[in-house]
Amino acid sequence: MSNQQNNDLSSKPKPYWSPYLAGFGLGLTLLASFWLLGTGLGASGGLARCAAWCEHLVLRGHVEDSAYFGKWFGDGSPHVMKYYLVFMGLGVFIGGFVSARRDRRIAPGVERGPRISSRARLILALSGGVLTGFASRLARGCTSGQALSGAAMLFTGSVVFMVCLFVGAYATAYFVRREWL
Amino acid sequence: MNTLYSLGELNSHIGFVLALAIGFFFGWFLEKAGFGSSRKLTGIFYFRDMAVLKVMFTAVVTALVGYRYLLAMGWIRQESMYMLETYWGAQIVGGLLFGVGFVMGGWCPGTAFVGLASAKWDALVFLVGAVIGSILFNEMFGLVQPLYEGGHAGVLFLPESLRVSWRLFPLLFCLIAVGAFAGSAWLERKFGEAGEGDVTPNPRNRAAAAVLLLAAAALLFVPVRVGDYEQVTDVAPNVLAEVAQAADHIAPEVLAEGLMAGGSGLTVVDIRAPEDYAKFHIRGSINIPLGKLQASATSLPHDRTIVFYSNGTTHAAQAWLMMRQWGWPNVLVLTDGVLGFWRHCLTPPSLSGVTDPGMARAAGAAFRLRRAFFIDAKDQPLSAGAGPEPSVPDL
Repeated sequence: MSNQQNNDLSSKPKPYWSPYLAGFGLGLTLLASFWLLGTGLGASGGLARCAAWCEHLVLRGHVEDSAYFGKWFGDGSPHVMKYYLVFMGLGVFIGGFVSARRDRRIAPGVERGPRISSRARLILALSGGVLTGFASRLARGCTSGQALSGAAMLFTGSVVFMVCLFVGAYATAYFVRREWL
Repeated sequence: MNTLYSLGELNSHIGFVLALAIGFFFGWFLEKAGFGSSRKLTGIFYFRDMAVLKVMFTAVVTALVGYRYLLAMGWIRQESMYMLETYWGAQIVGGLLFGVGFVMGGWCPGTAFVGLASAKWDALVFLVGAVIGSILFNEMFGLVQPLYEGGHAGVLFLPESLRVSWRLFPLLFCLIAVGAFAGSAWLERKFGEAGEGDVTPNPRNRAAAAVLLLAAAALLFVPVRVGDYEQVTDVAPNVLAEVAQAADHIAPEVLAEGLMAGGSGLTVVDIRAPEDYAKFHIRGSINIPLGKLQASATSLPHDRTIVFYSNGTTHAAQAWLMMRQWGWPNVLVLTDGVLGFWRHCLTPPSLSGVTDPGMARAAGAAFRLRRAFFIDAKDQPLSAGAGPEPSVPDL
């Protein structure tokens, strides 16, 4: 991209793409993943590896004996972070960064509605994160691995997960409306 | 083409490079859609900005229709794909909890990476929370395990669960999607404010919807291939009869007895990835990952009974079908796979309800014998209480 072009415009962020165009690109990315990897996209799996790695730094023996993370630390297993979804997560971050930078959308701050303090917003972000991290392990995937990838291959359980996700979110939305509206 | 999953090479250098590249485009398109913003993401829950629905549904129908075409053209074989199994309890409860966390936190894991890349500190805090939530799951695993494994139904496909034809289903799905897009535009006009959502009617969107529906309608005339679970037209009738009579399976106890008696006449093949085989396999089995079966099949004897196993039965059943079609006469699938083998043969028998002490003693002795043969004699140690772990990618 030429710098002159940038200078002509103000430093205003560029508009988002049409959601249909972005969705089409995302769908093609998912297809490429099916074709090359034999499995879809995923985000929470990489996070779980990070979680196991962090916990292992502090509580080595405990994690190695634990029933869920323990299987990633057996004799002969590769390092816990040598997992394809860790690299995919890194790719998501880099792709997001390059796009946000080019479109001037990097704006440091805490995003929140006008009626909530930053502190309250961060507490809710943390609580929501805990719930989401737990639920992704329980359901064996998140919006990427179950809802998006699983629904595209028409797995019944994945579609059920997606429907339940929206049921849970709409049922809660009213109670956290001050966070967003 | 063989996928990395079927070759057992997802976690190799090439797998890491490809995952990084695919992740780059994943993050790129999420950011372009505006998903580096938690307020835009949560707009859907107040009907103000339906971008999440539009992007997700567009991506799903694109991949869904594209996938069916790739299958029809033979570019992808269903048996080289990783199958997500249905666990009713875990997926219903997990979905509900996830939804609550999504609207509270404002992110999901994938979009939070993009939010962090856009320097949104709430995304960072959310990700820290998600790491804590994952650790919490590990710590509570003993407690949640019944739910985690609850309602296990194996690989289920929506067209079959709803009893709709495989050929018709993509078209129905796309019609619902296009209807949802029209409904979204209406909701945004009603609840959204100027500048929110994408409310301008666009003739290009209509043209794109028409192309999508045409592509999905054309699938009505595309035959569903073997392995797509509907029309298995080029399978010999005697093979189908064997499946119908369940003569294609061997029970875990029967296999255990056979192996402990010397295993003569039996060739046991583990078709999981090499790293899963390295962690645990049934003593005496050899490892041929499913994706390499075609290349390695000639090394398998025609005059012995070949038993295939994976974690469950889906992939082993695919191996069974291929071997039968290539002409091997005696091929069996291990019922319930290696997990079932572990459960039925290598976990202590439940003696509740057994009142005869002699029977209880016999069951205990049989268990100890099997355990000595399949576990204690092996050179690969298993940590106490740890079972064989599924070869399933954790998404």
